[in-house]
Amino acid sequence: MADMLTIALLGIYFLMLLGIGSWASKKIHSTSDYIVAGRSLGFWVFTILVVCSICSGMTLLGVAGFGFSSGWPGIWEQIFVPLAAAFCIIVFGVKLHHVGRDRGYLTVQDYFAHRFESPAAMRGMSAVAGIIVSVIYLVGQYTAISIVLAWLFAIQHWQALLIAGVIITAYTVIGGLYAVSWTTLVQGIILIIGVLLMAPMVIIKAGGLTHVSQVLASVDPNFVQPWYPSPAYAAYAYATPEFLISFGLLLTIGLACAPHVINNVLAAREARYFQWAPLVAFAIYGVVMFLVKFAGFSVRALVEEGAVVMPEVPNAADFAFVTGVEFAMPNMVIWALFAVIVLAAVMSTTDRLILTIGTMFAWDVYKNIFRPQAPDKEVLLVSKVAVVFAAGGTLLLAVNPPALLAWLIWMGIGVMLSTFAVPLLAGLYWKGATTKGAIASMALGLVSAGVFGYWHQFVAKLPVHFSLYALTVSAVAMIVVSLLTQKNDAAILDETKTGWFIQPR
Amino acid sequence: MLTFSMIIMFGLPPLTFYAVMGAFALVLIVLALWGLRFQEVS
Repeated sequence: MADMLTIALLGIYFLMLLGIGSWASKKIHSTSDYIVAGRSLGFWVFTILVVCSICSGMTLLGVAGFGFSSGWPGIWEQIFVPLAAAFCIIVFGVKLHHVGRDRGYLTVQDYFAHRFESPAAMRGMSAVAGIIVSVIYLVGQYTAISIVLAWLFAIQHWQALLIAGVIITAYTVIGGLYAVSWTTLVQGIILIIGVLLMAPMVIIKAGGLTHVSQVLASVDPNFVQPWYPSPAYAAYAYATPEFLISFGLLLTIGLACAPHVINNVLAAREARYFQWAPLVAFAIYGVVMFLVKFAGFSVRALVEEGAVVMPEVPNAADFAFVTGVEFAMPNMVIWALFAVIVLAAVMSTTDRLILTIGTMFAWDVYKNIFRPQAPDKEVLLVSKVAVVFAAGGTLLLAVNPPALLAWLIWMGIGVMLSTFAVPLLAGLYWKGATTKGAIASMALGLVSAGVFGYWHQFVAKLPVHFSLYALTVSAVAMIVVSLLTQKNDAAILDETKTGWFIQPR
Repeated sequence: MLTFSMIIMFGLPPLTFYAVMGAFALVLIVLALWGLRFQEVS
């Protein structure tokens, strides 16, 4: 599959990323520059950073794959995920950005420690949970990168991982969030233009959306319904109304409070961005993801009509988008571009995850728990070393990905929802939320996500996504324990702008 | 449900999804125009 043009284009792309990293490294003078880009991100850099932190290579391949295997009922995913970007910016972002600027927060853990007057327990627990979730997610991302590179260049899985890992690590280590955000702007533009060009071609080649839907309906009439009847009658027919409700909560709120997504709100330059950024992020992400999903439908129709054959691999559906583009556009130039597009999607999430893990360790665990007297230069150095270790460690895990990787990734998102959503929402909007309530909510959310996730996978299938049960446990723990324990200091509640409003005065 | 399938069959876009998508977009537009002024009262 590889040809000189593809290699040249990828080479130029990689060089451009390293160039941005080198330029960004000159702007890093402090830990704040490294972790939140000196709170300097303009409207477009910020908005695209939020979108592309959520939109990954797994998203790109997985969305088309889900469309391929489940048809229209799965398209709710394309509403919920873009909504996560808007939810994050409005519900968490406005207030966190305002307080974060006043109080110099570098991570969301700074907020937890301040709001809940818990410099060790809340900070430590949320940082460790955040690091675990991000590592799981990162292993999944690396696997997606290697699928694309190994297939394009017919190289070994580990070689593909090494190439991508070294490039991403290089620019992330030297340039921190400056490098991550500006490379993401470039990657985001490539991704958006690429999908706008390619997905319609696949849909047209398959005979247009109407024809595609007709073919889908002939395979299973429920393929063109808004949801599958309950209870699920087949493995692919799990998008029942009750499942979709839990799926909506999981994606919209769970992704919004994912550490690599929510921390971006601390880096925006001006508060006024938060007014239109939610709509812009929702619209861009929505259009791109609808198109990728339609491409997945189209490939299913092409397969049913015998026009294309899917590769014989266990996760064949994940190759739907790739197979569709291969069929619709055998042209070499487009092929080279396609490689860059998928890599752009993967890398824009991967770099943010590596940086998040590194900075959570350096800032929250090392600086704020173990060595509060550490000077800024030392923390900056530890951040860079931690980024290298985060990248290297997860790379090693990805060489031999766990057999249950897909389950682990869903576990990861479920843990994000069960662990972070309630303490964040209650902390920001409810003055009655107390320190002990937050600790109980986070700890029980984490434990019950593990229990229900295990139950669903290994004991008996649950009718809705397991994270909904864990979220309920977390919410009940927050309310009950908060009502029984002493409120936080009124001055702290005032400083952290706690209360039933979005916009602080 | 029948209407939904018919709409797809006759080539119109699947309205359920676009309607929900549009409704959310409308909420975001209203929030933006309003300046997210769900404000703290002193």
